Amino acid sequence: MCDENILTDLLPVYYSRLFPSDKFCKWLSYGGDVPNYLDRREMSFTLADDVYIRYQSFKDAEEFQQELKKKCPHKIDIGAVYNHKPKERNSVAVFQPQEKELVFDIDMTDYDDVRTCCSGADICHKCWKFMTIAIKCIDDTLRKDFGFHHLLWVYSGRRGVHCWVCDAAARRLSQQARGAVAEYLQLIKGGQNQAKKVSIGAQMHPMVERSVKTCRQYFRTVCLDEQDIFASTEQHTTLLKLIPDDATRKELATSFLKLKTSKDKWEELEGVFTRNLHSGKLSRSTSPRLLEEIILQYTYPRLDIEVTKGLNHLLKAPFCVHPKTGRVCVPMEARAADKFDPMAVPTVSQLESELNEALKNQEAPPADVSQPMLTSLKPAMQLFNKFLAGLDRERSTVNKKDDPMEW
Amino acid sequence: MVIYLAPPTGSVSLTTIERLCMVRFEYLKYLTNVNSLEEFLEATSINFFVQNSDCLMEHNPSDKLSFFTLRLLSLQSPPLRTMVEAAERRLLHYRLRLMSLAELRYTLCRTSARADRLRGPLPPGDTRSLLDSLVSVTAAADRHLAEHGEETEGMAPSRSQLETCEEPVVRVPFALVAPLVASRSVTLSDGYALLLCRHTPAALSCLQEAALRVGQRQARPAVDGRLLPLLSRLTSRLGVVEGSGPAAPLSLSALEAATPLLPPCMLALRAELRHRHRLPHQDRVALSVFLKDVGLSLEDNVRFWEREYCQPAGHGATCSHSWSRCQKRYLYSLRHMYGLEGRRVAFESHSCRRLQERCGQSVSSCGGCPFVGFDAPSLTSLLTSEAGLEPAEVAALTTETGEEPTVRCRRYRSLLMRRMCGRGGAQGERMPRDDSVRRDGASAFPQTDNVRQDEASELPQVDGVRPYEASGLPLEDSVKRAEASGAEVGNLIASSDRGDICAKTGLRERIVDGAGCDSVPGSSRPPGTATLGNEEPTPFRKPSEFFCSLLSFRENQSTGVVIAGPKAENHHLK
Repeated sequence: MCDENILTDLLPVYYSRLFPSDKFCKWLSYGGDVPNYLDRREMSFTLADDVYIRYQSFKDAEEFQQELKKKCPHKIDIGAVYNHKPKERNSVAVFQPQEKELVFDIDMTDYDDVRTCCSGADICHKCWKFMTIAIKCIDDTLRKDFGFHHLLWVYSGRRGVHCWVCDAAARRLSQQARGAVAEYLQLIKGGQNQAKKVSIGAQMHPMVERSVKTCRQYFRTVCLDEQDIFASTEQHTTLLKLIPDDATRKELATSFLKLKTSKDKWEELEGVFTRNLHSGKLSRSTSPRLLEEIILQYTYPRLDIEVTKGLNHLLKAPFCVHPKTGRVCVPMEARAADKFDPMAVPTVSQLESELNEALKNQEAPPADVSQPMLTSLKPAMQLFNKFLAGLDRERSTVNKKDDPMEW
Repeated sequence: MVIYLAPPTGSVSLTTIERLCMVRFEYLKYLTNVNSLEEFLEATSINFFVQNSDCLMEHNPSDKLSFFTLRLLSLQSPPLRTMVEAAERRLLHYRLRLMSLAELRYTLCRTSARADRLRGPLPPGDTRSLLDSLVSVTAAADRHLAEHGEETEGMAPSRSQLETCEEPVVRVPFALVAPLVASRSVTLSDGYALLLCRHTPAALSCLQEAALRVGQRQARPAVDGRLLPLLSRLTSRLGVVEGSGPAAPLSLSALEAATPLLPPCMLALRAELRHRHRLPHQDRVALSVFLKDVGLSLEDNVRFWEREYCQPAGHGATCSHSWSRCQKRYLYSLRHMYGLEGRRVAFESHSCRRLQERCGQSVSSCGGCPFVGFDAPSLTSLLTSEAGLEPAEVAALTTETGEEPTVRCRRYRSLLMRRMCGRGGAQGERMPRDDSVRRDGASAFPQTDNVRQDEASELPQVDGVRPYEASGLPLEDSVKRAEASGAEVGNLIASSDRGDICAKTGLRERIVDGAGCDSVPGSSRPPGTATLGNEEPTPFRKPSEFFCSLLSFRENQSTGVVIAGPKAENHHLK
C-alpha cells in the first residue's frame, strides 16, 4: 500500500525528472500534422483529497509539464479529442468529441468467481495469468481480424491492464463501430444472475476457434492445477449449473462427490459429456461445444464494454503513478505477456532512490540519456519509444503516398 | 432506388413537404411495432397509408423527398433521430425481402451506378469509403445474383436459396457493417468483413445506415425556420418530453414501505444492496437516478446510500469502498445527478430499453432487466423471495414465451395491481387490463429513449383536422358521425384510421396531432398518473414510471376511486 503523504512528497520529483512529458505529448499529438490536435485533447487530473478536475487541455508538452509540476495530480486520465479546446468549451455552441483511441480495460476484480488465490484488489503471480490470457486473445483479434497495428498495452498499476489502439482508423471510429468491436470480442455475457455466460453455437466462428485454442493452452495449468477451481462442493456445483442436460448433470453430481481435485473432476466431466454427446443422449438445449464454452467462461477475457464504447470515457494515462500501490503504469509487450511480472514494476519511491543513486555516481548524466533511462523505467521507456517509432513510420508512409512529388 | 444517396432538387410547396413528412413519420412509427413480414404487409390495408402511398413507394420522388426531409429534421431531436434510424432500417429490410430477384438486381444496379457517379470527384474520406463499399457490394452482389440465375437455368432462385447461400461476394471495411460485426455474423480479416451472398440484404441495410450517418454529419446544423412547425408537430407526436418531469415527493420511509411495488430491476438491486451493502458502479448509478426520479430528495437519497455503505461490505461484494473514505465522492456524484454540480443538468433515470441493452455487459453487474439478463433460477428466486409471488404466478412469468421483456414486466405489474385490488375476480370492472400489448406479445411502443408513450394518452384532445385534410383523408363521414354522437371532433378525427391501425396491431394509442392543438379542459393528467379510466393502465418505458403508476394506483384504491373498465371507451363511436 502506498501512503498518500509519500505520494505527495514524491510526485513533484517524479513529474520533474521522470515523467516523459515530451514523449507523452508527442504520442497524443500524433506527429502534430493536424493543427491543435493536442490542444483539443481532454485530460483530467485527480488531485489529493479526490479533487477531480476535468476538461484540461494543453497546447504543448511544455505547458503540460508546467501544469503537472504545479498541480502534481495523483492521477491523470486521457479523454477524447474534441472539436474545440476543452478549456474553452463554454465559449462554443457545439462541443463534441471527434476522435479517441479505441481502449480496453481488463480488471482482475471481474475474475473473482474464477480465482481462488486472491479476491478484490489483490493479485498474485498465479491469477495474473488471467491477464496474460486476456492480452493474448485481444491482441491477436485486434491485429488479425481488425487490422490494427499500433497497440499500446499498459499495466494499470494495480490489478489490470489497459489497451490503447492508436491507429488513425481506430481513433476515428464511431460509437457504433466501437461498440461493434467490443461486442465482437465479448464472449462472456451475463452478470451475477446468469450462471452460464458463454454460448458459441455449434459452428465456431474463426475468432472463437482461435480464442478457444489460446484459452485451452492455459486452462489446465491455470484453472485446474493452480486455482484448483472445482475443488470444493460449492465450486463444482457452480460448474454443474453450466450443464443444461439434466441427466449429465445428475450423473456428474454423484461422481464429483467421490473426486477431490479439479483435474479429476474435469476429466470426469469430459468423459461423461463426450460419451453422452456421441450416443445422442444430450438434450437439445445442450450445445455440442459445451466443453469449449466452459473453458472460455473460466479463462477468456472479461471486458468492461462501457469503457470501450464510450467516446467520452476517460482512461488512466500511461506513466501515471497508481495512488494505492505507488507503481508506475508502464507499457508492456503483448508478445512477452507471459514474462511480465506486475510485482516487479517499479514504484515511485524506488525510482526516486534509483535516480538519486545514479546521479550521485556521475558528475553529469550523458546528454543523450534522459533521466528515466537511468532507472528501472528504462525498459518501459524503450518500449514506448519503439511504439512511437511505429507511429512515425506509419505517418511517413501515409505522407509519402499523399505526396504528389513521389515517384 | 431503395438506398437514397443524394437529396432531391427542385421546387415543392411547403404544404406538400409537411404532408409527405407527416405520412412518412406515421408510417415509420407504425413500423417500429412491426416484427414480421405479415405485419409489414398489413399496412397496405390501412386506409391512411394507402391513400398517401406516393411517399411510401420506393423509387417514387415523394418517397425520396420525405426520406431526406425527415432525416434532416431528425438531427434536431435525438428521440426522433433514434426512431427514424431504426424504422428506416426496418423499412429497407422489408422492402428488400419483398423484392423479386429481378427487382433486387435492378435496385443493386441503380444503386451501384448512382454511387459510382457520386464518388468520382470525392477525395479520400468517410464518404468516399462508404460509396466505394456501396459500389463494390452492389456490383459484386449483382454479379453473384446473375450467377445464381445461370445456375438455375434462367429460373429465379428461391429466396431460401439466396438466404442460405454461403458463397463469398465481397470484402468491405468492418466499420461499415458494424451490426454484422457485433453479432459475429461475418468473418473478419485485416480490418475487412467478408460478405457472403446471404449477407447482401443485411449489408445493404448497414450501408444505408452508414449513409444516413454520413449524411447527418454533413447536413447543416440549423434547420430552415419554415420547417420548425413541422418539427414541432413531429416531436409532439412522438411524445417527446424534456426530462422526465418531477414526480411527487417521496420520503425514505414511504419508499421503504413501497418496496414491494418496485419494478423487478430495482427490486433486484435493492435486494443485492440489502444483502451485500454494496453495488457495482453502473448498478449504483441506475438505482440512484431511479430514486431521484420517483421523488426521493437529495438528502434522503444520500441517507439511503449512507445507511448501506456505512456497513461492512458483505461477502462477494465487488466494491471495496466505504462511506467514511468515499463519502465526498458519493455526495458529489449524487449532487451531480440532481443537477447541482457539473453541467447542472439533472440526470434522467434509465429507460427499460437501456437496462435491457446493458444486460450481460459486465460480469460483475447484478442489474439490468431481469427478464433479459437473469437466468431462470435467478429470476424465479427474485420473484419468489423478493416479490413474494406464488409458484404459479412465478411460472407464468418465467416460462419462455417469446414475449418482449417489457410485455412480461407489464404482466408483472398487472399482477401487483390485481393484488392491490384484492385479486377481485368479482370486481371485474375494477381490475385493470394491461392491454397495451400486441397480439403476438411484442411491445406496442417504439423503444426510443426519452420518449414517453404515456404522453400519448395525456396529450390534449385536438382538432387535428388540418394535416389529415391536407393528406386527403375523407373527413366528412367521420365528422358527421362525431357531430351526431356529440363527441368532440378531435376525439374522432382519425377514429376510422385509429380503429384500423388498432385492429391491426392492438395499439391503443390515440392519433393526435400536435400542431395548433388546444388544450381541452380536464383532458390532461398529472405526470406519472395511471390512466385507469377509459384507457388501459399507463404503459411505462422506465422503471420510475412503473413504480409511480403503482403508487398512484394504490392511492386511487385507498381513496375508493371507481375505475371503470375499458369497455366504456366504445360508447363514443356509436
